[in-house]
Parts: sequence; C-alpha cells; structure tokens
Amino acid sequence: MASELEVVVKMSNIMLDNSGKTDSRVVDNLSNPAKKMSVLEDQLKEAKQELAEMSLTLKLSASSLENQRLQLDTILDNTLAGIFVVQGNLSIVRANRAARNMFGITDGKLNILELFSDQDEARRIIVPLMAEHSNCHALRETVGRTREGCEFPIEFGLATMDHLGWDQSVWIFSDITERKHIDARRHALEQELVQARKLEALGTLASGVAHEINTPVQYISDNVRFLDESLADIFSLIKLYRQGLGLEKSSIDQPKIVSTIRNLEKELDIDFLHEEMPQAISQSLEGIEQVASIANAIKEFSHPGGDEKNDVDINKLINTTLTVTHNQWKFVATTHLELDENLPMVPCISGEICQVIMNMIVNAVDAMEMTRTGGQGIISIKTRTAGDFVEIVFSDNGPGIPVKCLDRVFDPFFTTKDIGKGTGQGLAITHTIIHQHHDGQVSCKNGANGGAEFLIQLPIHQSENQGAER
Amino acid sequence: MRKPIVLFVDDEPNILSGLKRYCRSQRELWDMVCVDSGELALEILANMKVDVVVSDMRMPGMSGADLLETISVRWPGIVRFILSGEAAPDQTLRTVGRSHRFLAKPCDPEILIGAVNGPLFKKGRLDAIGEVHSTSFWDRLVSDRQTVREILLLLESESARESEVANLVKQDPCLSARLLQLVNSAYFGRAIGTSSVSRAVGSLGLERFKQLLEAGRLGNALSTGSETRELKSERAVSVRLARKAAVYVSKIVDDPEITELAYSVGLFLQLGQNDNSSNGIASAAAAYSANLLGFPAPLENALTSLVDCPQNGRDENDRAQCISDAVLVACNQAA
Repeated sequence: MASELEVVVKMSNIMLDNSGKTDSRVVDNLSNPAKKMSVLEDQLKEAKQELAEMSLTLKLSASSLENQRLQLDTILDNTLAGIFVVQGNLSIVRANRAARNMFGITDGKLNILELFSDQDEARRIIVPLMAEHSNCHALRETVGRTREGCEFPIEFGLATMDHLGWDQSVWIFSDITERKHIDARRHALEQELVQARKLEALGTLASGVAHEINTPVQYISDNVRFLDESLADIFSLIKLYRQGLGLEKSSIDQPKIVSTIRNLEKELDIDFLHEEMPQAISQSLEGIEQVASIANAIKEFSHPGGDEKNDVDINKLINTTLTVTHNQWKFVATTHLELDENLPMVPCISGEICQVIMNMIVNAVDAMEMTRTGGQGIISIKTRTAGDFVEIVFSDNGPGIPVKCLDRVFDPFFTTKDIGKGTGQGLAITHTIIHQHHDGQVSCKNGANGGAEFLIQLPIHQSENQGAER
Repeated sequence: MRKPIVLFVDDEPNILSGLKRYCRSQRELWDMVCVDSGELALEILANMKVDVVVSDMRMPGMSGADLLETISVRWPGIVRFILSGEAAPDQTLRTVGRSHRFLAKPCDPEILIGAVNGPLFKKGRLDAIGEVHSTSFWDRLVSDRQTVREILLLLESESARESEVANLVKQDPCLSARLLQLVNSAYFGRAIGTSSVSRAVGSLGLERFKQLLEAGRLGNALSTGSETRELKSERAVSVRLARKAAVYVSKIVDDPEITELAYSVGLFLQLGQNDNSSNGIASAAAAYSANLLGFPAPLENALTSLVDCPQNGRDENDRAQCISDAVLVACNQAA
C-alpha cells in the first residue's frame, strides 16, 4: 500500500513539473519555429499520454484501496470477536458490529471501562497491559456488562499501537458464556463419572462382603441351634443323674435308673456331644471374629473422614482391602506381600486409596481369570520408600497388557474386558485419584515375566497448594 | 427301607461341620455325607446311591454350576439344591433348569431341613412310579413353542409391559411354573414367596426373562419334533380350568393374591401330563413339584388335596369348583 501511495505522489510531482516549469529541450528548439512546433506537439502528446496513464493508474489504485477498505470492514464486521479501537484516554473511537452487538452499543461516546462489570478491577488489569505495550496474545478473563446492564463472562486482550506513533490501542473481546456452560457441563459430567465409579466400587465391595459375611453367619447359626438342642439333651441327662443321686424325686425305680441313664446316653450319643459341642463353640467364635474383622475393614474402607487427607498407613490399607476383597481373588490367585515395615505415613484420602488398591486387585483378578484356571495366579504387592515418595508396586502373572494398549489404559472408557464386566473407568479414576487428588504418579508396564505391573508413587509430604485445593 | 443319603458339598469346612451338627437331629431320617469339592462329590455319586445333593456355588476347581449340570445329566433322579452366599449371574444362569432350589446363605436351618425332607418323604402316589421319574419329569417339562415365540416377539419391542408379558406366560403351565420356581428361590435376588405368575414376571424382570428364554433355560430348548395334539389340548384345558377357578374364587374372596393362587392351582393341576400319565399321577407330580421347588404352602397344599379329587377328569365346571374349594381351604389353613 505504501509503495502505491509513493507512486501516486511521484506521478503528481511529474504532472506539476510539466505544467509549471519550462523544459530545457523547449528552449533549445526555439530557433526553428516549425521544428519548435513539432517538438512541442511531440512533448504535448507525450505528456498527454503520461497523464492518461497516470490517471488510469491512479484510478486503479484508488479502487484497489477502496476494495481493501471494504474487505477490511467486511472482515471486521463479520468477525465473531468484538473489536474496538480505543484512544489513549480510553474513549472508544471505533467498534465493529460484533463489538456493538456484544455490548448493545447504539451510539454516543463511551469509555472502554464502561464495558466492564467492575471498573476498578478492569483498571487494575488494563494499566499494566497498556504500560507493557502488549499485544493481543495475553488474554484475560473477567465479567463484561452490556449497556442494558447484563453481565456476562468475557475474555479480552489488547494491543497498543504506540510503536506506530499513534496513541491508540486495539481491543479484542470474546463472549465466553457458551464456553463456560460447556466447561460447567463437562465438569458436572466428570463429577458424575467419579460418583458412578465410586458406586460401582461400592457395589463390588458390597457383593463381596455379603459373601464373606454370609458364610460365617451360616455356620454360626447352625452351630448355635445345635448347641441349643444339645443343651436340652444334656439337661435331660442331668435330670436323670440328679434323680440317680437322690437329689431329685423320680418316678423311675432306683435300680432301673442306671440303665435308663445308659440308654439315654447312648441315644443322645454323649461322646458325640462331648466332642462336638466345644468345637461348635470355638468355630462359632472364629466366625464371629471373621465377621467383626470384615465389619472393621468396611469401616476403614468407607472412611468417615470424607475427603479430608489424613496420615495413613498404606500397608494397613493394603491388608484391609485384601480382607474385604478376599472373596474376589481367593479362587483365582494367591497373594504375595512384601510390605516395608518402616514405611512412613502418607497424607491421603484413605477411602480413595482403598478404591485404587481394589481396582488394582480386581483388574489383576479379571486378567488372570481370562487365562488361568485352578487358582494358579499370583498377585504380588510391594511397598517401599523412594526419596520423597512411597511406592506401591502391583504385579501379577496374568497375560500382561497388550503393547498397543499400554498408552491407553488410563483413558476413560478404555477397556478390553467383556461388555458388562468393566466400564473402562477403573484405571481412569485411579489416574485421577493419584495424579489430581494426591499429586502422585501412576504408571504401568509389562513385567519381566509377562504379567502387568503398576507403579504408584505417593508423595510423603503434602505440598502447600495441594492441601488448599481439596 | 433304605435310609436316604444327602450329600453336602462346600469348600468351607466350618460350613460342613455346622451342617453336620445341626442336621444330626435328622439322623433317624437320613444319613449325610460331606465333601469339600465338586470332584469329590462326583466320586461319591459314582459309588453311592445319593438322594439329595446340596452344593455351594463358588468353589475352587469344579463350580457348583458344573457339578449340578453333570448330575442332572448322569443322575437325573437326584434332588439338586444350591446353598450359596453369592454367585455371579452368569453362573446362576447355568443352574436354571438344572437345579430345583436355590437357598441363599445364611439359610435358616429349619428351611434347609424342610427343603430336604419334602421331596424325600412327600412323594405320596409318586412312590409307585419311582423317584427317577418323579424328580426328572421337572427337567423334561417342555414350554409351548408358540407361546415362547410370541413372548420373545413381545420382549423385542421396548414398550413391552410386564402385564402383557405375564398374560402370555399364563397361557403356558410349564413356563409359569418355571418362573414361580425362580422367584420362590434365591436365584436372582431374594426369594419372594408368591403363587402369582404376574408377580413372578415382575420380580424376575423382563430383561432377565428374555435372557433366560434366549439361553433356552425355561424348558424352551427341550422341545424336539412336533407336539402331540393331546398335549396342546391338555394345555388349553389347564388354562380354561385356571380361568374358571380364578373366577369362582374371586366371587367368594375379594383378594387378587388368592385369585392368582387359584389360577396357578388350575394351571398346574395337570403339570405332569407330559408323560401320558393318568390325571391322578399328573396331579401328584404337580403337588410333588410344588414342594420340591419351594412353592408357597397354600399352592402346594391345594395341589396335594386335589390329587384324589373325585371330580378329576370330569366336567370342567365341577373341577374348577373343586379347585376353588381346595384353594379356600388351603388359604384358611395358612391363616
């Protein structure tokens, strides 16, 4: 554009030359009038032609300039972003259509600050931006206000033009209402998924626990009923003994009493009672202990502390989770534990870490169930301290993770399990819990002997902002 | 008379010792044998005449489902019960049609003993035809193919209502009985104790019903060849009897549960008809099945009292009247 302007200026100078000054060639040829005429005519013709060419060029560049102006206006008016040109004193010089629509501007002089919901805040943001001679790359989010007073979330940036020698700046605004809605929806959906996964984990837990409790309750109840019946038998014997000893009146003749006692003893199988009754009691106690330990484990699992972080003994959590999930792995695998006795306490949300441990166990079991039969599986769990982290390593001797899936196992909804078996949420939630809620790391690979290996690292010291975040 | 033998299979030794102690009270009536695996159970079965098997579901090695499936093929005359705390639905599905009752742990020992003693000692007239026949007739009970097709077609549409499905089910005695078996046991959730086919459909749920039909678990995979004309007409008679009995009862007692009960009694009265047996034997088989499968006492008692009903094989209205009377007596007994 600049070069075209130069051309125009040069041309008009030449035109001035031709009309105002006398060419030296003209003087030289004055002696011969005829010649003079023809030279003048030639010069005139030349000048005419030059003039015609010049006027054409001028017309062309003018129309090209006009075209570019129209193009620019069209672009500006059809851009989704609101664009303002603002004077140094912050009054708006020019606004595109989107800008006018966005803020409901009809006419009148406006200060750009009037477009913000909180003018003081806006000033605080703007002043350093103006001073920095910034460009539009640094976008700020805040709240805008239309001329009617409606507030809406905006994002804006500004570019000063003082390097061009102008005391003006260009401001670009986006209405981000829609984006905020989508963000909110996505956030809500993520929360729902977390919740759904929690419920799923609880369901798995509940059915496992039901079986763990049903079994002891079954035999405790059988045993107690047996004891109840046996006690009645024993008292009927005691009654006969007392009669035999004369401590109680009897309708049976004394000499016959011994044989009656013998008969009843035989009928009741006194040896059987003698052997079985104590066992019934000890086995029932065993069962009650089992129920109690499961009840304790559930308490820990559901964790009354809610989402608060507490110092937690990871080894204990592992043992608890193994107890509660016993039913899910006992037919498929044995467990091999190498838990570091000197493991420091780790600040974490114990319910969530239990959920992670359960995911790891359930995944290992599912993987091994697909390939092995007869309880040949091994789930090995190791804990250790590594620098500022506590590490938990889960490994199994299942089929391992297909290499092409290694990168995707933590993706939400990624699952290789059969439909109905898994939702593909387990490892995604594990990832969220470890990375986002605990500032830790979880990674996976295939172990040296095949099977899958998961490494979880949890920081021993809680970082400052991490605590505030939750 | 030979003392019956009951075989208990459970991998948890404490369960077996508890059962051993508690079932000692039955030592005069039957002997018990306990083993801790399905494999051992098969060994016992190969060497001993066993009458009842009570098996856990989840065991290392052979599962309860596998064990009962094998028994139902090799020893169809044995009564097959499951006593389990919790089982995966796909495992449970495999026991449908292969087992008689699913008792949930913890099971009241009285109920367990009642479940075992019923089929052992309540055979009544069936003793004459032998136990293999009496127990296995249930396995061989065939659902009406036409009805099954119609139900599957209805279940295909998402708008299928439970009441519509139930109305179709109630056209077929076998299918109705099989649904009552499932919901009166703990196959899929808690046993609900009902004689109403409509409630059974509701409790089981249309999705599971469809799944079972598609897996051929409700007597609908058994039919081979064309059905005899007599069988079709017998079914029509049963449905007519059921409808009439329900109407008679509803005129006397205004209780939908009892009306449904009368319908079921009428529908099941000829349940054993498959084997070309006499009306009396067919009714005896129905009564025996009601006990074997754990149907509610009024249903079982009404069927039992009708075994020797003098109106059997006579005018349908008289028979329906008989059924109605028997149902009311059975309800009074229960109350």
